[in-house]
Amino acid sequence: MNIWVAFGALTTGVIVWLWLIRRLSTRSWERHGSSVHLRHARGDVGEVGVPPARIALWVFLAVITSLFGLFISAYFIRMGHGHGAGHGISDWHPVSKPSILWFNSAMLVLSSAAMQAARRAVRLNDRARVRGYLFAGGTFAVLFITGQLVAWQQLRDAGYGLTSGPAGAFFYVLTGVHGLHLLGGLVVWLKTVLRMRTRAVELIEMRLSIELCTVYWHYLLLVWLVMFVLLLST
Amino acid sequence: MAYAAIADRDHAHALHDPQSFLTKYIWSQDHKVIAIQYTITAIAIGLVALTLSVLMRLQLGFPHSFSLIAPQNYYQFITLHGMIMVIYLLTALFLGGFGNYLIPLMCGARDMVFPYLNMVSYWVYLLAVLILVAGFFVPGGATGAGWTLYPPQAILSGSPGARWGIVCMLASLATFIVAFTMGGLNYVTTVLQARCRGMTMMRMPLSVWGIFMATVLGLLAFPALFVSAIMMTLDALLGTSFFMPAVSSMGQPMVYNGGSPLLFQHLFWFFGHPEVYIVALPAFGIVSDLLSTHARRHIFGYRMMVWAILAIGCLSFVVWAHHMYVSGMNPYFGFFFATTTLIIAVPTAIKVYNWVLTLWRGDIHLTVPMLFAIGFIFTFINGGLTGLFLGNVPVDVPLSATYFVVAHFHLVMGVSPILVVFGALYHWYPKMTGRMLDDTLGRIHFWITFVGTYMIYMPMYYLGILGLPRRYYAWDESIQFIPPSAHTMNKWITITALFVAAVQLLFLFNLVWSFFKGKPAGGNPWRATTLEWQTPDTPPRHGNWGERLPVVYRWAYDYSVPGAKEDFIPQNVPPDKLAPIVHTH
Repeated sequence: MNIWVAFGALTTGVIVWLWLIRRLSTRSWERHGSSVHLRHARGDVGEVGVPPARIALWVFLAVITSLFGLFISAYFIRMGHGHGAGHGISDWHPVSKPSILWFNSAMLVLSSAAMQAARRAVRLNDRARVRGYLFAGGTFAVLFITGQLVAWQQLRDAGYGLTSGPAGAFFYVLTGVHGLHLLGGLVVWLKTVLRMRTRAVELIEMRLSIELCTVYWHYLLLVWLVMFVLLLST
Repeated sequence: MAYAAIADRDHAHALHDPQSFLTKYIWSQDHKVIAIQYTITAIAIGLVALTLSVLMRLQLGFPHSFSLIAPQNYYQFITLHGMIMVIYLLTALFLGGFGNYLIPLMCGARDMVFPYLNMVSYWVYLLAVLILVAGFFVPGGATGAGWTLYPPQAILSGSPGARWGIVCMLASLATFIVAFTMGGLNYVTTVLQARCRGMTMMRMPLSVWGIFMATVLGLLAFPALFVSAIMMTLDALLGTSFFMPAVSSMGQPMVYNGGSPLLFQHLFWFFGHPEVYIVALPAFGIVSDLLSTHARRHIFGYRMMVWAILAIGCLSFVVWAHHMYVSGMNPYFGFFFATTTLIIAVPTAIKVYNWVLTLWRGDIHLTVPMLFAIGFIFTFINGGLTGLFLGNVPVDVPLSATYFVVAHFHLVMGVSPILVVFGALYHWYPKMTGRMLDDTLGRIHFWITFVGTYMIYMPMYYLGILGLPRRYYAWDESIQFIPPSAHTMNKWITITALFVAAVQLLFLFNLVWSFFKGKPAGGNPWRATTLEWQTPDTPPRHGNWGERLPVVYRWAYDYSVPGAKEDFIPQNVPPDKLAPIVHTH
């Protein structure tokens, strides 16, 4: 056994040594050439052709994926914990889910669909439709948030306050964080709508804002659906 | 084409120079000004943390001599010292300070891609710092829960600041995370999108790579802290039981029931371990550039260095529970996390070897930045190797509550990154201000800091092996196993720490004095290749590059190229401008 270990160590040592010699003798100044990439040769806008806002949105989506993912894993860990969870006695008592949540989900789906329609209307260069769909998308989102607040109230009236137990507390926190993200989206939406109303901007200039709003809306719909399934099933 | 037209127009607008003092230096959207704002704020709050550490050392070296420092004060100091150093100083300084300054300059961009967001990021950071400081003045004082803020004790009346101090701390952290996310989106997008022509990802200086990867880690890891801060605030203020188990306080049962303190530990360390690398990776990157520039030699194994940064970044997400070996978790988990922890040593060791090999046969100039860079290699190896001990469960369990751990993490993620911060400030100060920092003061600063570090932390390893428990306010003579020599050693550590703390004031003096009286630096005093040294003006003006953006033709490490007229070739020198190089084919 020991001899094999020694042999292995020796071989590794020789390989590392050979590799090191090879690396040490490379001439870095010869390998790194002088060719310059001439694609996107537009002067001042940088090498990559993707608009910065789009990159930033996707990075931001990664960040909030981490955020919601951690909330959801905390949910599961807390659910399996509690007093003597191992012995089947947990302090986790599911809360009754207000039925208005179904209505809210429908609102959010409609909202997302309207945003998608607005995005398509931009491509068709149909200004009136863009305005209409955009407005509808925001309105449905506001209805969703109002519905969530009503759900909070119903839950509280049913006796599941914030301190009633972990399931109730998580319900408020998860829906609250999701709602806040949608509110943030609505701020950007409002800015887009106002820009379209007050200034004589070309539709093409609105394209990126509307596209990014739509992506964000779809993402938050996805998060809500995952959370909704989670809340219903536990 | 329409995009290009719009982008150009926006750019022309953005380049409109700010005129008044207020828009130029206070409400500035220029990445360089924001970087300096971040740096000054971080150094200011860092001085608070330094003062706290001095107070702690006074208590530990000369217990019962300072009536000012009561036990609860000691715990407040320990908590705030840790939190400030890790988050408000190091994270903010590396990413907000150096990230902001270096990314656009090194990538050949005019500014960050979202200058307004960048400005907001700084002001929100400042708000976070102010909320943190406000914690000292609320009823009950700042929190004394330890920087890990473990529940349940963090919000039980036994801990100092359990009512309002902890709330201030959590609010400040949440605010900081918002600020960081705004800044981080900027850094990542700028690196991905705004590099100048020819600056491919694999031609970026390692400083940018380190900062970039650290930002990615921060963006993905800080949400864990955010989640725990929100849930803990709810526990503290509204009586939910996310983390709080059923407890009695002063004989009275509290409202809490069934919460999981262990859940907090998992969330905290899911953030906490990547945080180590959020601080370390920028240091790795910057030190690579310092070593290469001042040794006049290309960085050894550039591509490997990049891959090592990426590997360390990914691995840092799967080692968090090595901070929790003593939490009573399943031994199989311990085995898994010990394995991943030791695997992280591989890319880290590759980096250390490559730094040393970069120096091999280099034309080493022992300038002040170089001294700090070499000092970093020493402290990082000494701190890192003891990490291998602590990564193993059976070694960690007896050592985890002793001074061995204190010495380990201070060397590896306290002193080492701080040495790089100093090196980087000496290195880039000429670009930021147009003047050199004073050399003699710099050398005094380095040697006292470096030697002092060893005189402080090596004895702590020894004390840890003796079994001296950490987090104690005082070790009474009644604790039998602590020999009298340990008390003497504690006095020694305290006296050294006072010297080292005092010499930092010399550095501050140097920063201020050199700003007015320093030797004029010229555009490229270190004869470096990277783009920030090739700006038309020093300090660079708004927009950085004058009329035209630079074009990059080579990697960042063309030092001592045979046949070249100078011993460095800047990244933006086109091949036809070079003196003919003799190729040996």
